[in-house]
Amino acid sequence: MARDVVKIAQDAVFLNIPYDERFRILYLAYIAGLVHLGLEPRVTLSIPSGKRRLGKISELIESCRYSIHDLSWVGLDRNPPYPTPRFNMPFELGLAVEWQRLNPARYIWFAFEKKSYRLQKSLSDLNGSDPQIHQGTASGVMRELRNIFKRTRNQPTVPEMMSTFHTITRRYPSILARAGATSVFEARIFDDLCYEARGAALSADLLKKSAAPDR
Amino acid sequence: MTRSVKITTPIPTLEEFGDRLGLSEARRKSLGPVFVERRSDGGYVVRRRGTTKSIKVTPTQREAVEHAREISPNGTILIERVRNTDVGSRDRWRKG
Repeated sequence: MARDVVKIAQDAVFLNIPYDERFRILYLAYIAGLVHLGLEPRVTLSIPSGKRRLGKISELIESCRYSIHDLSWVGLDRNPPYPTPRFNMPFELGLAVEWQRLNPARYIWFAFEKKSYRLQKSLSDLNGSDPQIHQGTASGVMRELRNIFKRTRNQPTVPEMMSTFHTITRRYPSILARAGATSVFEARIFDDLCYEARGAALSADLLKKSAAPDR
Repeated sequence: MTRSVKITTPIPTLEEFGDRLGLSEARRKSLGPVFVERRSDGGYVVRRRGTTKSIKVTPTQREAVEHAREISPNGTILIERVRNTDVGSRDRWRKG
């Protein structure tokens, strides 16, 4: 069956990350950093499980201009029924790599890792494509986002991006409480965090302008 | 070598961003930074950035700031400067 052509959002970034509480800090860092750069992160949280899920994930990737794949989560998932590695993220990276191969002018993917040279072992097919190494820290994520996304005007600094990160880190417990949610990895919470991050970035910008001496 | 891309799309306003996310006015009212602004009639208004409606109108700035802190205990509060000082002047903002 023919598929509808998906409209590409030029500032949308498909964020391929693990939905695990132990990854929460970096998840908030990606949201804060991307939103502060004026970009719009998109995730698979709003896509329900089911037979159409794979198609929806493909459409989500195709609707974005960029994608980020954090492959730093390489351990076993020990939840029942069996301890297994999770293959969803490398699989989605594969979809993105193929999509870029078919559409080199309108799609770019980036891989992120915690440790240098580990990706060469865990996914040696990508040798030749250097991942961004964030060292497992929020400031590392900001630094690497800033390295790959360069605004022609008003490129934010890492401390400015970190200020947005600190705001949403302070705010997320009350966002969860208000929504009656227990995890940040829910579609509604993701939207709220993005909006909160945009507000924090704009406030930081206003305060920066306000601090400039009158001339 | 690290790849990088130039971003030329304009940074969206909070209103535009809220629209893209499909957030209702009610949800926006509970999120985002809170502003305390002076009204032309001399009173002070508390409102969320990205919404059109005011949350509260008070006769003094102090009351407005107190209310802002009440509704957003961990959030960002921006207060419009109403005096000309060494660190800022009217139409500029300070952190609450």
